[in-house]
Amino acid sequence: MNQYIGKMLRVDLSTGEISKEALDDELVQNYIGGRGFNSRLAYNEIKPGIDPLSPENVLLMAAGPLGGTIAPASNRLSIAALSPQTGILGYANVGDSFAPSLRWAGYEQMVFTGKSPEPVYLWIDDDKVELRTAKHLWGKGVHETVHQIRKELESPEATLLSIGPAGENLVRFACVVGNLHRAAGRCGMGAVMGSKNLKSIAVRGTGTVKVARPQEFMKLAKAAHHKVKNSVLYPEFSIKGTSGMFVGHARMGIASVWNHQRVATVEEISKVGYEGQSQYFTRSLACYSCSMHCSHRWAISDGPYAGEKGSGMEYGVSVFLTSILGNFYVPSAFKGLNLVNDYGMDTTEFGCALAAAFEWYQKGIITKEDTGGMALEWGNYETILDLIGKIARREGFGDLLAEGAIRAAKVIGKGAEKFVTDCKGLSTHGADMRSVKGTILSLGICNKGADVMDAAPAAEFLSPEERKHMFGSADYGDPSKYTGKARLVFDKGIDGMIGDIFQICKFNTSWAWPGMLDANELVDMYNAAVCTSMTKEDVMMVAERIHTLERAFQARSGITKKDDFIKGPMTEEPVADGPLKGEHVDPEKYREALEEYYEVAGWDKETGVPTRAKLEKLGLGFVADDLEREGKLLVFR
Amino acid sequence: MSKRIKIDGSLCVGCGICELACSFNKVGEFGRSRSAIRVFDNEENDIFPVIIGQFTDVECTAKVDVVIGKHELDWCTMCRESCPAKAAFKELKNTAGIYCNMCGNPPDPQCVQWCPTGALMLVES
Ligand code: SF4
Ligand code: SF4
Ligand code: SF4
Ligand code: SF4
Repeated sequence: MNQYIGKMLRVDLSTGEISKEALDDELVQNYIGGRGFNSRLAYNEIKPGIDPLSPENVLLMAAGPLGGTIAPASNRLSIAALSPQTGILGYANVGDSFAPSLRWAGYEQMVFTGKSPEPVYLWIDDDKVELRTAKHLWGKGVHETVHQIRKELESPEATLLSIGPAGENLVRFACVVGNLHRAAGRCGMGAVMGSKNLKSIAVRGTGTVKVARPQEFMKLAKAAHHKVKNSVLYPEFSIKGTSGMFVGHARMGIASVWNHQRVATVEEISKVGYEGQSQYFTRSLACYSCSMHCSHRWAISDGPYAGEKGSGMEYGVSVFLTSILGNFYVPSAFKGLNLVNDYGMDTTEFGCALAAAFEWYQKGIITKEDTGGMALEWGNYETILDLIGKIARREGFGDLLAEGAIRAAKVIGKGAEKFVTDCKGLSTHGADMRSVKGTILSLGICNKGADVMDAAPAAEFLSPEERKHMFGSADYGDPSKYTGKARLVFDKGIDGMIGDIFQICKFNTSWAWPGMLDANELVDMYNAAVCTSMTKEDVMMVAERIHTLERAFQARSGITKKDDFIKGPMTEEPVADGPLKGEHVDPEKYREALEEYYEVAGWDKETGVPTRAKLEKLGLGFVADDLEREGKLLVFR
Repeated sequence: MSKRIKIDGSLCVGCGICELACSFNKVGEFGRSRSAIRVFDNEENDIFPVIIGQFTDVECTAKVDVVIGKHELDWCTMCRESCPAKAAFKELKNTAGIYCNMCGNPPDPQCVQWCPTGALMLVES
């Protein structure tokens, strides 16, 4: 047992039994932490094909091995379970201070099984761990829940992960909210909590995290912070945060409006991107131990939402509450952000469901009769905000959208599905990625569905001059090309996975930008922290092992090559206007790039299922046996 | 001339790096509860590091005037040891006994060294 790795907390919600276990050495060696621990346990404990909202689903949460230390941005917590939205393995991660507190309390991972007979929350007060009733909190928003729990625990410093009404009402894209404003957004992890009657998890850790070689660790951590602060990304990102990308997308011609029917101009996006938001920002904000501080506090001082205040406003929030819905009034996005956080739902999926619904309305596929009298008109922010509550409470038309865009489309029929851009049931990015070929591929192969946070290559968003300057050739990462992208996307996925196993925020690693923390620096800190002697190559192998294991999990749930194609307007139609007018995804070239990716990854070219040879090489022979037994290694489609 | 730490709460981003630097300096381990500096956040617009000990101007009036403003009351439950009226406050487990000793000789505070934003500064008093 590695003494620098915390315990696993196992909570059987059906019986109320709580146990603490040491994490297995083999698990630590081969999976390191965070997403790695979760995916490995998911493989063992979640049976593919079960109902994600049934007590059989297992909810997994894990910190990283550097969590709670001074290592840069080591604050992430990975959450995984079978996704109520996609029916396959889903995962997300959240920042702020939960993971550090969990590690100070002595735990690395939490495993929730079963279903509590009545609403409860878990209180982790160092060694003392107990389930407490949450009956009085059921139905309450995240804000009130957090304040009430801190009050009744007499612990203002408790840090929490909670669900709002959306999670309780099993909205398929309900998220888990960290304290008040941070979210593990994707894949409906909040609905899994809701299905288990688990309202919140509160932790107070008054212990410490020890590292094996303290002086060495401090030196490495200091150098790492220094590197982040002196990176090219820092001046821009520490001020603007992710919202800064928004106007860059408009310049490229990929900022979508009206569910990808047209692209926004720079002027339009300047109203809702960082340029429009900044007047409301009151201070810069960081997650725990992060010197990048990409987030903000804000307060609205004018218009109908004057007096509204809060934190956050990331790119992924603003885009889905504004441009994609034709809304260019930025205060409404801030109001919307507070609402989605309080109700607890994923803004990406929310925005995609609305974008599709508004287009159905525009095209006459649905009418006021279907919407309960609401006119779904592009840009009408009152309607947008109104729908947040309606979806969370599953009221009227909101009940249908609470199923997510693709499920709602299937209910509606009449060709509604055509207007939903998704992959494996998970809706896609808010920007128009059909012109950005590597990114489109990354959305197609992402294990959870169409998400950008796994493997989207940053190089594609640089100008030709910047690419030439940084990589020696403007061809490298040229967004219009398919060639070379398979390798680029694969490597990017490994980079991202390394961030996710150490649970270091990827905005601080080379995943985000060249010259940020790379695998060498992370593994050095890891070795000094937990007394191992891993090499960069070892860690890359671990990352590939997890990536492939996740893929195998999905294959056991029936995912094959056919599911790696993104469906909907973004890939089936050309760009209508703007500088990239006419750009489209060529299905043939996409298929070639996909097959090339399989080749790089060691997955079968015909099925997209990992091959036995590759699985064995990664120490996953047992997975190959499972797949073979289930006939998955032989599937041809 | 003696030195003191000047805190500019408006620059603080709430990253807590100062807490970890201090706890490492105190006990060679990482944990906010072993730190002589604590960053308080009322989740509105106030984020403010408070140093426990006699080397800063910890008198209540200064804190209330400068930062706590109308949130005075809430924050009082958290200020703890630095407070002249501390008997009235809840103590956070384990913090007891940890005070700022203006580490380094000559003073070279770890919290100041590690703070990424300049919110903590070493000044002549
Ligand atoms: S870069 Fe931003 S999101 Fe990442 S840890 Fe830092 S503040 Fe949080
Ligand atoms: S806790 Fe004490 S020092 Fe802090 S503001 Fe209140 S009275 Fe002042
Ligand atoms: S000066 Fe040293 S002892 Fe005092 S708060 Fe800063 S780090 Fe801690
Ligand atoms: S290190 Fe500086 S910016 Fe970070 S919390 Fe401490 S005082 Fe604030």
